[in-house]
Amino acid sequence: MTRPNAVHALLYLVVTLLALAVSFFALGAAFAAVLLIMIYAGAIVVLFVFVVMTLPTAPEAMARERAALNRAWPLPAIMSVLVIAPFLFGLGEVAPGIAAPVSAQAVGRLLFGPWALAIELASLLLLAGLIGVRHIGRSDRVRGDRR
Amino acid sequence: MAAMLPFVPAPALLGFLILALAPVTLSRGAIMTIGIVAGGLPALLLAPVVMSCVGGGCDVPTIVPILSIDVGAFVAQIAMSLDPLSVVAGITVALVGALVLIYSGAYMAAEPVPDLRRYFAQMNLFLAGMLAVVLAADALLLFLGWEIIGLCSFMLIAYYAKLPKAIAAGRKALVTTRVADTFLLAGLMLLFLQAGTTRFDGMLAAVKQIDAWQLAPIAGLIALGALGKSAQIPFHTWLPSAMAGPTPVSALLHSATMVAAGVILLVRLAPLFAAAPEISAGVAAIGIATAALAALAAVIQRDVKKMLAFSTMSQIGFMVLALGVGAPAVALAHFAIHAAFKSLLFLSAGVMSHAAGGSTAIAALHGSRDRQPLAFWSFAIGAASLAGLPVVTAGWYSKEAVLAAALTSGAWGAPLWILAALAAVLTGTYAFRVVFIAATATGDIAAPPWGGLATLVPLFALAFVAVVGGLSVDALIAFAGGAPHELPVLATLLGAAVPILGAVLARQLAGDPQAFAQISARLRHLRIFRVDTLYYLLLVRNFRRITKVLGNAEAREPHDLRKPADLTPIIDVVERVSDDPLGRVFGGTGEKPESADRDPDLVRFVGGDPLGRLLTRFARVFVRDFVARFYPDRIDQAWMHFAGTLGEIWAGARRVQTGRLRDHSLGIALGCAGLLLFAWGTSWR
Amino acid sequence: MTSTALTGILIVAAGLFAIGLFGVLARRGILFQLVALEVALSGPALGFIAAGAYHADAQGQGMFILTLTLAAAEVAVGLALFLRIRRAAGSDDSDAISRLKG
Repeated sequence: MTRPNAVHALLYLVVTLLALAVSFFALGAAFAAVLLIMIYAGAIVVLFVFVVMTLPTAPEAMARERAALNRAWPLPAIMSVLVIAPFLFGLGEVAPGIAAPVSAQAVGRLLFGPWALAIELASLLLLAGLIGVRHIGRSDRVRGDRR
Repeated sequence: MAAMLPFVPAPALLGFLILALAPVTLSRGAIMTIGIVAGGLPALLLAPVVMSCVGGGCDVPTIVPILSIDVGAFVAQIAMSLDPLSVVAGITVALVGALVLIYSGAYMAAEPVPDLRRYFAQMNLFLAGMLAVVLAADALLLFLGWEIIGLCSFMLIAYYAKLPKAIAAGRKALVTTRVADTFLLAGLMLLFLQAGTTRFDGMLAAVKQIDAWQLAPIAGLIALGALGKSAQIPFHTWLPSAMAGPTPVSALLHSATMVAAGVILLVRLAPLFAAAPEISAGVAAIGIATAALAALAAVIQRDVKKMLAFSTMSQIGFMVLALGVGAPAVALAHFAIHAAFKSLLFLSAGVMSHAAGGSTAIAALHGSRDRQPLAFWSFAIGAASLAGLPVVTAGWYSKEAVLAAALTSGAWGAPLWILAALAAVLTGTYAFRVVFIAATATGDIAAPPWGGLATLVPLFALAFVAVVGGLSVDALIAFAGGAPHELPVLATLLGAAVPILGAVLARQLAGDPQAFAQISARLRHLRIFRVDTLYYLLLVRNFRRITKVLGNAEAREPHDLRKPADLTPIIDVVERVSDDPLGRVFGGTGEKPESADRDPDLVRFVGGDPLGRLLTRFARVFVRDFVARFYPDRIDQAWMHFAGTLGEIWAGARRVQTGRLRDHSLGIALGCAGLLLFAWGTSWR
Repeated sequence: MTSTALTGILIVAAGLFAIGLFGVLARRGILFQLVALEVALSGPALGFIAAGAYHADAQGQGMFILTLTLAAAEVAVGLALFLRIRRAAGSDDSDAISRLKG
C-alpha cells in the first residue's frame, strides 16, 4: 500500500483484492467473489495500469513521495483509529445466524425485484460517471477550438 | 348647517397637499384645475351656510368644536364659530379667493410649470389659513391660521425668487409681521391667563372680571399685533414693498383679505376694546393717521400697484378708525365692500398693465381705455367705489357709515370727521388720477386684447358687487349687530361732496403733470414717511452695535452705511433700505468681500449673536471639562480590543483552509469520527 | 459460521477501511489516494458479504454489487480527474492544487 512506486502499489492492491475474493468464496458468496475478481481485479486495476503507464517513474519522484510520507503519517493514523474505534468497540453480541450460502439466483431476484429502483439509481450513477469522464477527459485543444 | 363649517377650508388645504406633496409630475392643465377647483370649493361649501343665516339664523353664535385637548386645568378647544362676523368675512374671503384664483389661471398661464405649481399650492394654503382665521372661535385656530397666512404672504411676495428685490421684500414682510405677531401672541397669552380658556366667547365673557390696568396692556398688545398684520402705522412699511409679488397675490393677500385679518381680529375682540377706552382711542388715532397719511402718499405714487398698496393701508385705516370709535359692524361692512372693489382694482390694473407691456408705472397706462376698454371700465368702477361716488357706488355707503361713526363718537367726533373727510378727498384724488391718465388717448398701437373668460368672470362679478353691494351695506351693518347712525344733513352732503372734490383735484393733477411733479417732490421729504429709515437708525443700527460689543466685533457695520443727510426720498427708501439692513446681517448678500473671505457665513452669523455665542462657549467648556476627560474611553477601547481580537481569530481561522486535499479529507474524517463517537456514546449499553 | 467468526471478519473489514482511510489521508499522490480509496471501499464490501452470509440473506450481496458500481464509477471519474489535473497543474501532487486556500 504505502509504496512509493505506483506499480508496486497496484500489485499490492491486486493481492488484496484476490485475498478478499478468496474470503468471499469462503463465506459462500461465490457470485460476489467472481464479480470482485472480474470488475475490481479486471476492469478497475487495468484502468489503473493504463494510467500508471503514462506516469514517469523517476527516482526523485519516488523519493519525494517517501519524504512526504515520512513527515505526515501520525495524524492520519490517529484519525483512522478514531474513525473505526467506535465500530470496533461498538460490536456487541451478534444475533445468531443461519449461515447458509446465498445463491446468485436469490441475489438476482432481489436486485430485479424489490431493489429495481436501486439498480436504476446505480445505472444512473454509472451514466453520470460516463458523461462526467467524457467531459473531464476532453482535450484542451478541442475546447480551445470551440471557444 | 353650522356642522359644515369645519369642512369649508378643507378643499383648499387638500389642494395644497396635493399640489405641494404629491410625488407625481402634474401637467399645466392639471395644476390649474386642482388649484382653481380647490380654491373655488370653499365658496360653494360656505354658500348654503350663508343662506341659512339670511333669515337671522345665526344671530346667536353657534360654536362647532373640532378638537378638544383636555389639559387638566383647562380644556384647550379648537372650534369654529357660526356668527355674523364669520359668515360675512368668510363668504367675502372665499368669494374673492375663488375669483382671484380663476383670474390667476389666466394671469399666471405663462409661468413655468414648477413655479405655477408652487404658486397654486401656496395660494390654496393661504386660502385655507385665511378661512381658519375668519371662522375661528378660539385663539389657537386663529393663531394657527394667522401664522399660515403670514408664511404664505412671505412665500408669495418672494415668488419671483430670481429677483433680489422680491426676496428682500418678502423678508421684510416676514420680519415686520413677526414682530407684530409676537405682540399678538403675548396679548393672547395674557388674555388666556386671565380668562382661563382659549375660546373667544369665554375670553370675552371674562373681560368684565379683568382689572383695567391688566386689560389695557392686553388690549394694547393685541391691537399692536392686529395693526402689524394690517400694515398700519408704524408697521406699514412692509406693504408697499410687498407689491413685488404677482398681481393676483397683491389682489388677494395684500389688499382684500390678509391685511384685513387684523381688522377681523379686532372686530372679533370688540368687547375687549370697548372695555379699554384708552386703547380704543389709540387705535382710532392710528387708524385716522394711517388713513390720512397713506392717502397722501398714494397721491404721489408713480406705480399703480404701489398706489393701490397705499390705498389699501388708507382704507384699512378707515376700518381701524371705525373700530376705534366703537363701531365694529361698520368696520366689517367696509371690509367686505373694500375687499370687493380693491381686488377689482388690482385685477383690472393687472390686465391694463399687462396690455401696457408689463409695466406697472401709472404713466405707462396712457391710452388704456382704447387698448383694454373692459379692464379700463372695471377699473373706473372700482376707483369710483374706492373714492365713494355718492349713491351709485358701494364704497360711498360703507365710507359714509365710517364717517358717521366717527362723527357720532363723542367729543373728538368732529375733528376725527374732518380728518377722515380730508383723507376721503385724497382718496378720490388718487383713485381718479389713474382713471384720468388711463383715459387719455395716445397714438400707441392697440395691444392685442388679453383676457378670456378667466379674467372676465372675476372682473364682472367684482364690479357688480362694487356697484350694487352698496344697497346691502345697511343690512350688513344691521346683520353684524351695529346700529344705523343718524347724521346731520350737512354732514351727509359734505360727505357726498368729498369724492367729487377729490375727482376734480384729480382732473387738475392729471391735466397738469408739472404741478403733480412739484407736489410730489415736496411731499417726498415728509419726515413721517421715513419710518423705514427710523427703524434702521433706531433699531437695526443699535442692535448691530450691541451685537458688535457682545459678539466680539465679528458683526460689522456695512461700509456704505448711509448718513441721515443723504437718505433718498421716500419712494426709493422702501426698496433701498429694504434690501440693505436686514440683508447684510441675516444671511448676507455677499457684498462684503473682505469679511466674506475671512469667515464662513455661519461663524459670522453666530458671531453677531450673543445668545449663539454663549451656547458655543458653553459647548466648548463642556467639551473641554467633561467630554475630554473621557477621551481615551476605556469602554470604547475594550470594545475595540475585542473587535481586534476577533479579527485576529478570523485571520488565524482562515489559515485552516489550506486548500490541500488531504487536509480537507482529514476534516471530513474528523467529522465522521466525531459523529460515530457520538452515536457510540449515545448507544452505550 | 459462528458469531465470533463474524465479529472477526467485521474487525478485518474495519481494518481494511482504516487502512484505506489512512492511505487517503496520508498520501499526496492523487493516484495513490485513489488506490487507497479502493481499499477503503473494499472494507464495507467485505462487511456486507459477511453479514449477508451470516444471515443467509441476499441483501448483503445486493449491497456489495451496489458498492461495486460505486467503486467503478468513482475510479473512472477519479482517474479522469487525475489525468486532467496532471495536465493542468503539471503535477500529480494533490497539494499543488490548493487554490481554494483561504
